[in-house]
Amino acid sequence: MEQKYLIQVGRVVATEAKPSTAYSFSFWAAEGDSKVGIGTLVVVKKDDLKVYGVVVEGFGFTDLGSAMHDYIGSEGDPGSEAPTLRHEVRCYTAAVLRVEPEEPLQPVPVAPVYLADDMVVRNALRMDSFWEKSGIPIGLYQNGDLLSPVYLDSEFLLGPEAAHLNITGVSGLATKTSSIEFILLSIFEHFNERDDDGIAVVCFNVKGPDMLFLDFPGSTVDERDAEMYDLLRIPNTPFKNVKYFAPFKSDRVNLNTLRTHPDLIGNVTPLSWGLIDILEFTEVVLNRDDVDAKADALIAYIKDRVVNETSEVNGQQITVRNFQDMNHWFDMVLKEMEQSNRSEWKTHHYATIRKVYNRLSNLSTRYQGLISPDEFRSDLPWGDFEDRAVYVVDVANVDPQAQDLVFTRIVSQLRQRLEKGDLGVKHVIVVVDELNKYAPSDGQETYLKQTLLDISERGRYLGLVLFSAQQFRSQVHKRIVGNSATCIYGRMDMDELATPGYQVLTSATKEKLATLSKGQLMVRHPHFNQPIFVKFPRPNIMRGPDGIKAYPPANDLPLEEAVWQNLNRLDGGVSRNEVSDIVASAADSSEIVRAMNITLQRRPDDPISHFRNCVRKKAGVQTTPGSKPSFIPVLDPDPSDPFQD
Amino acid sequence: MLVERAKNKISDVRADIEREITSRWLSDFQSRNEWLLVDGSLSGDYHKYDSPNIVGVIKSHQTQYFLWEDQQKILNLKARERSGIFIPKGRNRPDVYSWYLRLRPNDGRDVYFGLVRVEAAKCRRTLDMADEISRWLLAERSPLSMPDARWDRLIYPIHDCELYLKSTAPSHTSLDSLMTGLIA
Ligand SMILES: Nc1ncnc2c1ncn2[C@@H]1O[C@H](COP(=O)(O)OP(=O)(O)O)[C@@H](O)[C@H]1O
Ligand SMILES: [Mg+2]
Repeated sequence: MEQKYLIQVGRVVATEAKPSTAYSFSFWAAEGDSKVGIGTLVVVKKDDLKVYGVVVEGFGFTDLGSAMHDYIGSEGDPGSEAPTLRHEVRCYTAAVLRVEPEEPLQPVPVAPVYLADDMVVRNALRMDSFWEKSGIPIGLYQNGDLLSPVYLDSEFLLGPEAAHLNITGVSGLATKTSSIEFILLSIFEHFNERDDDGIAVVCFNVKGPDMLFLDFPGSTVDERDAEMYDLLRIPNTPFKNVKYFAPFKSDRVNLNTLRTHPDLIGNVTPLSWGLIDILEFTEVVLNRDDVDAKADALIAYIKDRVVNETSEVNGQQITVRNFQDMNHWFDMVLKEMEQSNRSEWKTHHYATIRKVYNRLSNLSTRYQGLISPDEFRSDLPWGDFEDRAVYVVDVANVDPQAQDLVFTRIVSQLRQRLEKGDLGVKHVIVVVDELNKYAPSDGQETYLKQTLLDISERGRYLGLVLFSAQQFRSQVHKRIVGNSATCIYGRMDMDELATPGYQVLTSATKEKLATLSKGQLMVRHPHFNQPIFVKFPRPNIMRGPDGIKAYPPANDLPLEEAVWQNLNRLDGGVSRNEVSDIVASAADSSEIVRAMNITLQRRPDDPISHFRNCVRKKAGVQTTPGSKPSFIPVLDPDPSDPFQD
Repeated sequence: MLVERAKNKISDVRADIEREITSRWLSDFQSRNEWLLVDGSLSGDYHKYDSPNIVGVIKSHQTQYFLWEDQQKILNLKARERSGIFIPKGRNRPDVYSWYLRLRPNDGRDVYFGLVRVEAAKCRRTLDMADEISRWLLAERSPLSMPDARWDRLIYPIHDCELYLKSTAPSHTSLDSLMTGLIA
């Protein structure tokens, strides 16, 4: 129901010099009225006609023809106060958001202008058609004391009609990270697709500790924020289900993340990919110039006939399950060629085999920490994604080429699984900050950029949605931001506003953008004909720097200490001496690392014996290239091994 | 011819209205220590009051009240100077006191620049208050009534009032269409 009395704030004026059109009109506002400003929503009512508009420009003037006249009138004394004051009028220009009834489309009539209330806000932004069904609160439109919820349409935010969200603004003031967190919380609360669909978030943390404490409450809970949460019907809490992932450091013992405080490390899963995971992405991990048609053919052969198969080389059987096996396989192939003095092996030339061997075996060194040399593999829970869960992948500290691989493989897995419908959820939001670094408008083509472009162009049909942020929108690949149906702007830089992308905004709107305070945003969304200003509450989430203070990262642990602490986390009774003994008995440290990671992953009831079994069984195995194997290496532990678990 | 007569008629009607409003104002507000500023000569029944709170400001100087020598003194008034008080003759109405006042310096301008003639009731109080009333008017020089051509003499409150009246008057376009309607 509409409130009976809307507050009248002005009256439409149309002059020959500045006529009303169907898309814009001017009005003057009552003297001394502070309720109207840039971004204010108003409605013009005449009989049954309602014209909704948003103020985009304001002018204040008097009948003074020239500054000179005022100067002369005051006899050059700025302190002089005239007994009679000139009239001062405030005229505003408003852009039309909507007209009811829609036909015929006519210039806005001269009629009273009223301030918007909740109902008017809802109609003006065409939210009446969707807010109950698919509304996602994005913030509150504020007008004096009035706070009206503003909703985005999930069908245009998360697909299938349109999708993606992009946010721009200067660092530290635009509240980009905070607003994305807030919108995700809002989506988790309000997205109501059919129950079995499910929605999850994959967050790439690319900057320090930015998104590493999403499951901890923030320190400041302010009353005004609480009120906003109530109005938006969003619980004022952090994320409930967050899982963290990070590659190892090069020691493959310590994780490459800042979330290493002993209380928190338990919730960080290593990201450690094996041979099988990587072979699909050879084009990403290998230099294009290296992979000619011949190399391609050999890689394809390895993928099809060698990996996860038992094949015979030089009269010996070999099963290749990981990089170590593969290196071994190459050695055997080369040996066979050398012994038989042939330059070709199954149509592959000796030089090609050497080259591919070299490039592939280099990968586990080049992507040390991310690519596993042995059978230990650890990954996102493909197939078991949970509804309303956040999967944070910390790539803040890995080098660009590893970032490229992480993004590309994860997104491609998401896409394949969403296509087949076996991810566990039907909608995934991928969050990427610093888009101008990862998808710059100029600069070289990377797989990462291609991946982001791909989500933005095809993702919405699959339920794969990109939420991205950057300081300078003008520096991001045009098609990525162009495909983003919802765009948000926080405090902006004046230089950025001067770039051509912002020409559609009036200068008053630009001025406002350049001075927005924290928590204020400008939103563009397909249902809104014009940008709308809203404010949102601070997310009740621990900010990265606070998290680091509360949970300082642990120092890197030496291997033996790491084994002891990690096993102890599984079972408090692990003795230090026992660990020392096992470590001392192992052939080399990589064997310990492998055994530790496998034990941690399997979480057996008796970790120390599991660990011992893992090490013992493999102790003494030589897997360095060139060594003479005298047995059939089956490095993956037998799944039916009675000693396991 | 016809236009001339129409103009005369309009100005007669306006004078009548002014007279009536002045009289009404005096009867309603006289006691409240408020003053009425009249654009032009005094009219209405001001003479019926002992000391009516009414001042007229005349911007045009068609009538010359003094002979050459005295007139020279008046035309040579400097800014913020006023003439002595006199009783203008030749009008068919009750006597008033009057004086000339130079609102703005006219150096390098014509002799009438910034010159107004003030009228007030013919009473003892006017003689006492002539300086004070002159100061009131001087204070109203700011803001300037630009872009009105008579800004040197047109004080802003009068300009403001004219602006208001103009905004409520029908435009030429609507008058024209009314007239055409009448003739047809
Ligand atoms: N809704 C809000 N209201 C007021 N301050 C906020 C709000 N959201 C975030 N902030 C504050 O603004 C600052 C910057 O936020 P952040 O999200 O890190 O910005 P960005 O990602 O654009 O650099 C932080 O100090 C944060 O506490
Ligand atoms: Mg940020």
